Amino acid sequence: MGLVALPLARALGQLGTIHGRVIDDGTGRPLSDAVVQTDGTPSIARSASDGSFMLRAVPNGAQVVVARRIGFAPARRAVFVQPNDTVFAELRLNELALTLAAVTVHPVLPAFDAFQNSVAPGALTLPAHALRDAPAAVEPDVLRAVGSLPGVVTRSDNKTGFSAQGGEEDQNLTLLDGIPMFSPDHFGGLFGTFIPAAVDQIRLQEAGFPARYGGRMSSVLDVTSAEDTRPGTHGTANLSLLSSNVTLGGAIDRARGSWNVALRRTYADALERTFTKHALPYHFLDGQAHLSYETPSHLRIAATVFHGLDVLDASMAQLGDSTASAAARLLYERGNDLAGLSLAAPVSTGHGGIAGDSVVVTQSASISRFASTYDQGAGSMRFESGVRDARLAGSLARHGASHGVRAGYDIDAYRVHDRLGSTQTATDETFSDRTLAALALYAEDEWHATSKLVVQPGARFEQVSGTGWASFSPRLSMKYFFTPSFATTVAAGRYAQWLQLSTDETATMQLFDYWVPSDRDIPVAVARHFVVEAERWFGDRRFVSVQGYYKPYSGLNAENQSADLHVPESAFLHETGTAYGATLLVRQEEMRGVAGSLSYTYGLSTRRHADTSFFPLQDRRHTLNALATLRSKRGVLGVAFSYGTGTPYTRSVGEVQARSYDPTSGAWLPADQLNVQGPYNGNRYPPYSRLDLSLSREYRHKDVRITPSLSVVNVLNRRNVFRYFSHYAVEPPTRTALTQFPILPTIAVKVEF
Amino acid sequence: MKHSLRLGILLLCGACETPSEPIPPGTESVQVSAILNPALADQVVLVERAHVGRASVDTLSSFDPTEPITTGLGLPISGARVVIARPGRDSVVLVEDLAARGFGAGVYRFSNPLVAGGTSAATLEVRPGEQYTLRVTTPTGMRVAGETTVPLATPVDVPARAIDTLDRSGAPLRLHWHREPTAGDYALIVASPRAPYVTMVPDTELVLSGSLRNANENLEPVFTPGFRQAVTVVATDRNYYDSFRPQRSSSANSRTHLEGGYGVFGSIVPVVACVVAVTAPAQAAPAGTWLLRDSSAKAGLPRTVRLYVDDQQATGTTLSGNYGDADGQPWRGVLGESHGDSISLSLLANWTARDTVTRLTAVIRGSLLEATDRGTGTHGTYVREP
Repeated sequence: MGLVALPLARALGQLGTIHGRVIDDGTGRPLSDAVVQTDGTPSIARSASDGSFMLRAVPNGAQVVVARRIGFAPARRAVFVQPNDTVFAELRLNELALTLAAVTVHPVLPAFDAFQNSVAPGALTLPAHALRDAPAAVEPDVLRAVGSLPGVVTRSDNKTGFSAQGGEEDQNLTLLDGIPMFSPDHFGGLFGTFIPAAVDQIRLQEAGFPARYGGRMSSVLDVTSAEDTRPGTHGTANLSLLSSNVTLGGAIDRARGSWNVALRRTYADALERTFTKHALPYHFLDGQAHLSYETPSHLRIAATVFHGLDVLDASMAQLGDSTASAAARLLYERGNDLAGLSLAAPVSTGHGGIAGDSVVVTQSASISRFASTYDQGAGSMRFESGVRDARLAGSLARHGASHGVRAGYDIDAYRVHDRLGSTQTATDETFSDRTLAALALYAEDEWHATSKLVVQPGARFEQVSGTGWASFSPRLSMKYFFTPSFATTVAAGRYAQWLQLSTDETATMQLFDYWVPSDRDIPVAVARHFVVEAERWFGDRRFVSVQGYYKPYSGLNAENQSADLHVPESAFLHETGTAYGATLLVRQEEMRGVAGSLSYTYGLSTRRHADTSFFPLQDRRHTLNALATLRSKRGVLGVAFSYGTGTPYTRSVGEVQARSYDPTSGAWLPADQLNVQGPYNGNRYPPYSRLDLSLSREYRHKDVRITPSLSVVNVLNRRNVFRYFSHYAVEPPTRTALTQFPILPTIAVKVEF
Repeated sequence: MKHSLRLGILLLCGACETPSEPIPPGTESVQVSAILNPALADQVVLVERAHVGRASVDTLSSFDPTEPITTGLGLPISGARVVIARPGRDSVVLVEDLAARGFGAGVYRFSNPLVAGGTSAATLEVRPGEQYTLRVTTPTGMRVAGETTVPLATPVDVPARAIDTLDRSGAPLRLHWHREPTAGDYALIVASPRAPYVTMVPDTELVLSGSLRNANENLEPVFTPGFRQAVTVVATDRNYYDSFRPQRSSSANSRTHLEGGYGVFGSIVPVVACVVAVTAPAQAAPAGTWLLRDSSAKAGLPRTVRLYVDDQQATGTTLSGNYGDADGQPWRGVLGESHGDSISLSLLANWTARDTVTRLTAVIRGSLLEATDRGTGTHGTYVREP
């Protein structure tokens, strides 16, 4: 009846909003993740971390609001909804003491929630279980899970960094609890830096993101720390062949807050040393801590700290170089550090002067740093590079019946330093230490113009010191519901970036992350997004979405491989470019133990510098990803298949034997061999495909769950090419290929308590 | 270093290498190596084929300075027409060594009459500040062209006659020179037994530590104890600079200013030249001065061998030094390795590792060194000088 009445009520403009809060009746604490809906209507919402929820487009008249949450008895409350008004409802849930058997929980899924309530085109959310259940390459990885999403291209198995809808890796704004992170992966990009057990969910928006986000011009990857609100201390331990990680957490002060600490370290170095004479002189370490607390006056405090470090500490001989000096010790370190504190306080609950409105003031301070050091040993060469962002940010958000207005600011103070030199000679020393500041002011509104149309206009003003650059970036998203289950979204916006990663467009793998700030010679890069999306849901667990995008770029900076180190202005090539394409996603959230998705992406990216037009490394024309998870009492089976057409590379078409000249005799001596390169990124690697399987089964003993798992990566042992090495000094010439992951079975055990 | 990185990638990524497979050969192209140097009498131009898989390179022969291409991992082009000209003035057609001397395929030569001692009948003055063009036409019709302007600087005599001493553990070597207003960039070149050390110098002074290592050559020490090494600073033109300056890329494409080929046609003018006799502490064997016992003197074994520890490597200790005879012959270089009491030594014809003349194996017994010539089997006993 409600489903029939809704379109009529919409047509007549007889809709209202229910705004409210879900509370644990026993403790008085707000309850997050409770499913809230009105009987007989499709309006459904999930309570936020402060317990608040909002049901929009509710037909007027008497309604019954129901809140449900695992472990609690459902609570109901009758309200009377007025047209174009907001009514407040507080629902208090009582914890269940014994059994859940009588409770049927039908949680609203993040994707469906986003479809109903978000204007963001192409925003995709992966909850923690999806990260864990996907087949893992050695071990679960947050960034690898992103790689299977539509519109996302990863260059190889050996790279967790990703390209979102044609953009470069450094154009993704990666946030951990709202704090920017510069290079969220480990050495060579093999692993992401996030510890899966410490992550609650990730949300990726690949284009058309709103005005509150700035500083990057391709996508936003929002990673949220897990918050364990169960009483006592709980934990998860994961042991794999490569690493171990431990996560501990629990509630504090009668669930007013939570704490969470996670540590991960690889130990392939120790294993190698134990069982063989060899030593793999490499390990990485990640540590993450998150604390949240809400005071009785509803001031919410959250703090996050992260530390990651890669260490490669070896003699040249350990790396197989028999000619190098044993005294020469190679040291390579890199890592992210960040810390942040945020405060959020409601200044109006909606009971007071402005009916139905809630106003929240948020203020945060954070510091984020990425540094890398490469020391070739014996004082011959040392390279240091670092970037630091000290940030203050704040916002004022007001949620009303038809408007959700937010205004805020970001102030970023950056320091970027690098040093290249040799302690033995002053001949090649270069050093720079630059600071710059960026100020951003923004405002956006989520306006429910009609029952069918939601408009999100926004604008961002940004100014960057030392560049002479200031700009106004308008953004607009509009979502139109043809029916409650079918909507289309269009979005457009302008996005700027003043810190870019120096990238080698001819390299398959980049060992160093070297961030470069804009100045008067290096322009601020700008992208414009134009996105259109159509999304159709079949129930609340299956949907199909189709998206098209077009993104022109200017001011991109690529590393000049023939740059003169003594001429700083020659370091970069200034590029322009475009990216356009389309994605198709068919997804089923878990139903009767079966979940899966099928995504296809067509993308075309081009870049141009000087007179050269070329395809960037991430230009994979066709990408197909299929994922399936089958859950039964016996365990969980995960299957993942990926197919992609080849990515570009610059082919070697010959070699020359370089010669060194003796100025005292005029003699020429043989020196290194140099490659003769063909057209710039003018060739493509063969198509890529990979089939992965994983199997896990959970065993319970009292409060302890033990889940052993087996993953097999590249089951078909497909030899996907990572890089070619050509040899032209022989007849006939030959080529060898370095391949990506071979068939790689791994076992792991997870213990949860 | 590249080898290390490749191995590192393999280790860290779990990657595999596929068996080699044949690929189509590339397009024939020409490589030219030509530097004009007004301090020298003979000016040499090498003309060779780029490696494109249409012929195999000789990797077995040891380097012979008279056949720098054939024995230097190259494929010479004989019979080319190589012309260097001063536009609007004069020109010279270079003569291939193979035609003039019967050896030296792909080596083309002319003499600069402004410096005495030229060996070629073809002559052209090489003067600082003047512009030159190069035209190469191969027998198959491929053409390469380039031009250079010799830096306007006053050349010093090379090789230098004065010899300075550099103790590797002592004070550094200090060099300075005057900037010539019209000169381009500067380069430091240190002749080392294995590979020259080349670096670009933005200033007009240098401080070189005796412990300097060559980052481009597996971190080997630049200064080798017991050796005499030429240290030269040259003013360079843009072509030389771009060809030899450090670049991230290992591509030949970005290093050349030639039309129709790869390589360099550049020019330099030496502005500082010296020869350093490198020494190092020699406190314990195998370092030290070893004298052949008169009673055991044998043909082919040098009378005196001075040895130093050059470097500590993963596989053992590398040695360097020099050797000489009492009959007034010049001292020459020695390179070697020691593993415990066992030593292997290469006696060099001069100061480069490419011209080994004799190999010795030896065992240290207290203050004695029992040496055997691996070629002739000649045995001798050396005594360490106190």
